[in-house]
Amino acid sequence: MFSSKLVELKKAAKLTIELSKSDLKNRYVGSILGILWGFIQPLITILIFWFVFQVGFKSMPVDDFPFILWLMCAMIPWFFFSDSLNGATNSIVESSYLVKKVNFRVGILPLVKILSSFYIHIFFIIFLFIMFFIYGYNFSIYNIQVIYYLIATVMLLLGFSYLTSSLVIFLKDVGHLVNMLLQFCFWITPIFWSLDILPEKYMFLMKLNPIYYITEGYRYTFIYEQWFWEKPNLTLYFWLFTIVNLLIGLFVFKKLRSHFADVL
Amino acid sequence: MENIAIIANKINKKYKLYNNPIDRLKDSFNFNVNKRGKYSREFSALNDISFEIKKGESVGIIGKNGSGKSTLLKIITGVLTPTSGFMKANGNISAILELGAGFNPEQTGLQNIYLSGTIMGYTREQMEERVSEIIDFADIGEFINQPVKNYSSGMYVRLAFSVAISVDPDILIVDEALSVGDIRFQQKCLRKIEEMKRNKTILFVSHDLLQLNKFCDRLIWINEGELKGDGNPEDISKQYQAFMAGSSLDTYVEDEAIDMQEGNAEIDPIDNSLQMFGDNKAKIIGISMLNANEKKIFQTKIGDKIMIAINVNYKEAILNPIIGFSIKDRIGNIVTQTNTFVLEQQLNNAIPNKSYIYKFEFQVPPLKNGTYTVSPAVASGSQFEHIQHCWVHDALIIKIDDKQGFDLEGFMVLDSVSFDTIQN
Repeated sequence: MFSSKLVELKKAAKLTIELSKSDLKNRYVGSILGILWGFIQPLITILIFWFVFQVGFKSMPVDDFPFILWLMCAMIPWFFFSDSLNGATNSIVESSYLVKKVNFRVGILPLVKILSSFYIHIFFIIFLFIMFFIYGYNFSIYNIQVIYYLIATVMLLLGFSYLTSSLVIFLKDVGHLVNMLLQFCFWITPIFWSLDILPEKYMFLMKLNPIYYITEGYRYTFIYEQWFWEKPNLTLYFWLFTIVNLLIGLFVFKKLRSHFADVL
Repeated sequence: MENIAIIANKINKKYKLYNNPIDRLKDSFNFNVNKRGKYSREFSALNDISFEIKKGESVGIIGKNGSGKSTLLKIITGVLTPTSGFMKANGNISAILELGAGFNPEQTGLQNIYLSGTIMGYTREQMEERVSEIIDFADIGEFINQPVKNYSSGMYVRLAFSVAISVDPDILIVDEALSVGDIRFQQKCLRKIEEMKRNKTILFVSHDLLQLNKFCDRLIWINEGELKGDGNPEDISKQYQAFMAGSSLDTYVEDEAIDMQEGNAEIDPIDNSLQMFGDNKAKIIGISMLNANEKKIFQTKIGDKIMIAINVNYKEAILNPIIGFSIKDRIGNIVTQTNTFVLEQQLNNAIPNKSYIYKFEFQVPPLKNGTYTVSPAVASGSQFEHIQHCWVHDALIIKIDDKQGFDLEGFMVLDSVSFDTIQN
């Protein structure tokens, strides 16, 4: 019994990987530059922000660090998060042809989207290392932490994705809502601005945002050289949030799963 | 247990119908069990369906539209979960459901071949071995590199069927889909199915009873979610045909007030929805095919003695009426016709408000396998100049079995052919 479950799990994992590969290809199908767009778009956005803040507003280096590096550290995980959530939310609706016609593990569809964004994210992490190297920073042991924060991001994403991807089937508005909230989050999360500019009493509020834990975490990894356990309260809060969020997501998904084929 | 392919035990499927998707959402999260269902109406698609299908059996499923055939197939494939009951299929299933095979409309045919393979658990390499075979069988030419959304329904089903059979399933499920393909592709598929019949389990949904009789070892008949019959194809298809004829009787009595007492109970009344024309001085109110024992039949064989009985009700007096009928094939070609004028039968003058039954007795001509329609008519005058009183298009649908093992082209069967080789 157990081994047959294992075989099934292995099959599902293989299918997820295969589907995520073809998803990556399909995203930019028809365009000449193809998959390159997946890299060009975030790069341009980073460049715009860098231009506006460093060249335009003459922002000073934050904590004695080149602004571009400081910005990229938070921007890159943010792109991963928003890209995945956007994709995952529509993943089931998009693949209705599978849900309705084939006996299929629908649960892997949000995962497929997260995984295909993950590939692009891996590229950007490498890009980040290269940028640091160009600016004359060497590899440090703290950089290893990026794996931990990657796992944290994916866990957070899973909870949200299962929730939104199943709700959007019944309520189209969820898709627009996710889009809007992501925009909102981009501005309220300290990505291109430092939390230090806020008065002390509001800082606490900002820290409730679980995405802050991730964007700040990437900065700990690459810039401030701090371990995640050095912030035990925030870490504990993040994981509590993530686990509850994941449980809610899975519960909703399981509840609604049997209706998918009827509604789509 | 080992030689059972599919077990269905007391399968029930109830659909909840909601006025809008939000109600469904509310209902799903309603923890108060008593309140559950207050947003929905229930519709029972399948009721206590139980059967077992042995490995290697070919089973046809029949039933009128909306009777639950597709729902049943979806439950067997696992796309839908039954509300209650137990369903188990041994072996991997390949299915073409309702013109769909899980193709991504945005991707090309070729990409979809790989996608289906991936979902069925085949590696890219394994699929590569099959691709050329699939493309050959589908035979859709250049379109294989076009997005599936641009396909015609025929091309779609060609590709779907080719993929479905290529993955070497233990159980093949074919839902009506094939009827979309042209006749040549249908024949090709049927030959393939015939070939697969030897060692695979096949489930086949079709409205073509002759086809089912030919291919299936067994028929399952579902009517409005109930298992109505299960067994020998010949018996079940007869019951089914009789049932379908009977159900049209009900609708007729409801909306037509002509006194049926004068008519013969054996003759089926004409469905009111049928197209009629004429000056309405006479009305054809019933038509049936009868066998030599004057029992109503719907299917006959070449060479059998049959009767076409036509029931006519006259509104006005008509001098020497002429009664006749045409037999048309499936696509509307008139294959033969006759009437009382050419038969040199002088009929008595018809009396108003009386019904007459006319019977034509003849031997079934050597027509090819298939469905034919009979269109009866009443006129007066002569063959060359007449007034049409009533003509009903396709009033009766009959099936003719040509007893041939092969599907040859043409309209007719060449009967009692003798053959000889002469050597010089």
